[in-house]
Amino acid sequence: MKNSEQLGRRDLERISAYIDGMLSRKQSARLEARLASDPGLQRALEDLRATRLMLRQLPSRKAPRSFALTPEMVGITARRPSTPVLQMATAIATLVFFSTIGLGLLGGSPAPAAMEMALAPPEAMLMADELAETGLPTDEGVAEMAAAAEPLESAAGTEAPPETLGDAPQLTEPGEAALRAMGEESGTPAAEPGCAVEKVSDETPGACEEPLAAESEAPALDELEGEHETSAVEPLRPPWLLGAAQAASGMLAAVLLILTVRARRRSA
Amino acid sequence: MPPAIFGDGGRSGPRICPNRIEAEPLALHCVQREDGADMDENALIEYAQAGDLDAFNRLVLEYQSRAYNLAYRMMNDPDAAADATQEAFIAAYRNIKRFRGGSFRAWLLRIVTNACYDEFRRRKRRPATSLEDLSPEGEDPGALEMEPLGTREDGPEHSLERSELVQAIERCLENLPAEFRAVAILTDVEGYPYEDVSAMVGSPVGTVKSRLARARARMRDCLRTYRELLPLVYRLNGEAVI
Repeated sequence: MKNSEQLGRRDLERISAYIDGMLSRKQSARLEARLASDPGLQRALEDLRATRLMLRQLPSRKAPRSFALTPEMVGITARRPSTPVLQMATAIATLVFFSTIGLGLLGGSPAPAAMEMALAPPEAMLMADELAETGLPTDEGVAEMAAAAEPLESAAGTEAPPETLGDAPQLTEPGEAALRAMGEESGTPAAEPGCAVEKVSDETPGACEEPLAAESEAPALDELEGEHETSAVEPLRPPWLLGAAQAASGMLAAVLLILTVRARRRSA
Repeated sequence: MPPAIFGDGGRSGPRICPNRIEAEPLALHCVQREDGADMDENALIEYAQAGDLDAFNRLVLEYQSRAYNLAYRMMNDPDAAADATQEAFIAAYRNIKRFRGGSFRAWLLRIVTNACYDEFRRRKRRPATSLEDLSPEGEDPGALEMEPLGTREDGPEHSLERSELVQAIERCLENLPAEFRAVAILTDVEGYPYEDVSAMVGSPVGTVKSRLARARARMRDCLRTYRELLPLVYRLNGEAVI
């Protein structure tokens, strides 16, 4: 008779498998025959059964928390890198757009400049008339002045050609060109150019009558240029530049806004 | 008969298990959806393989209790078991494309077992003793779902005895070599058949049988040292009346 601890490894495995019903019918019959004649084997069987029963009765435990995975746990990162960049770009483009509009309203926009240029020839004509009344300019001078103003008028009505853009400061000064032509070719004193510009802004032609009448001598070209610099409403940059900047920034802001909205919809 | 597929090939919505037999355990075949419908586990696995984390999380909710119990029995430490369980689910999600059918439960619990082995190895490299380990009552008794050991007598004395006996069994399990422990837990504690345990531990059925027999013998020897705690029906070495 064997003690249950003294069982051989094979017997132990057979008894263990027998408990679980994992022996074949033949193996089971053979073991049962041995069990009937071997109390030690019988005791070993009972010990293993009791051990198995105890293990099976162990209480199950509640999971302390949910083990559901989050995207961060498995390294899934939300695709949203483009949205903040797009938002920032949209904001900047919008800011630039409104800044250009603001600059235009302050006097640099293409619309006031164009108005200026469009109004300049009649002003020059007016000045020429005034000069004619005073007897200073000749008929030829007036004609010359009108001729000089003509291309400027067309430039104001349409977009300036690229070749002439480099001379933009001169183009923005129609009265000056006219007066320069008048002064150089007729030899008569020209009217003060700043006056013509002031008239554009004030729209009070009479404001120039006094200075014109008072100054009988035509000012030097340098003086004219100096006064040109001090003019308050005269644009300091080509008119097309602000227009182009407005259009470009406006379009860019619109495109970026659309892209941002689409990106946010996609990420949502 | 395969389960009916509704909609566009089951891609737009979950498949419903139409032929679930009431006697069959729900967990093995269908997963209960929040809206009450049963969802085919295979469909969830397919979704998860396509990267659907929500579908995988439904599987997690279905199996997390078994996974945690196995890890807890293996580690005998609630925190380490929770860590191992979480790691196992993460590993399962990352490798679910490699699942080629068969028992998902066996596949998952094998990952849990491996996560526990990894944790053992980590602990060997960096042995640490927590304050909970030093205390005599190292665990929260409220975490036990039920107390099936012994007779169902109420009262603080019996409750204490049961708790001590559970701790004694857990200690004996902890003293087993990891390979023996895994087999004993999966077969005797969790009640899985040999074939499933074989898949879960990645060893042939013959190895499982052998390890189980030796694990039971070691458990028997260990539990004899706690004989005074054992209820009459569990007394060993010929004293028990089963």
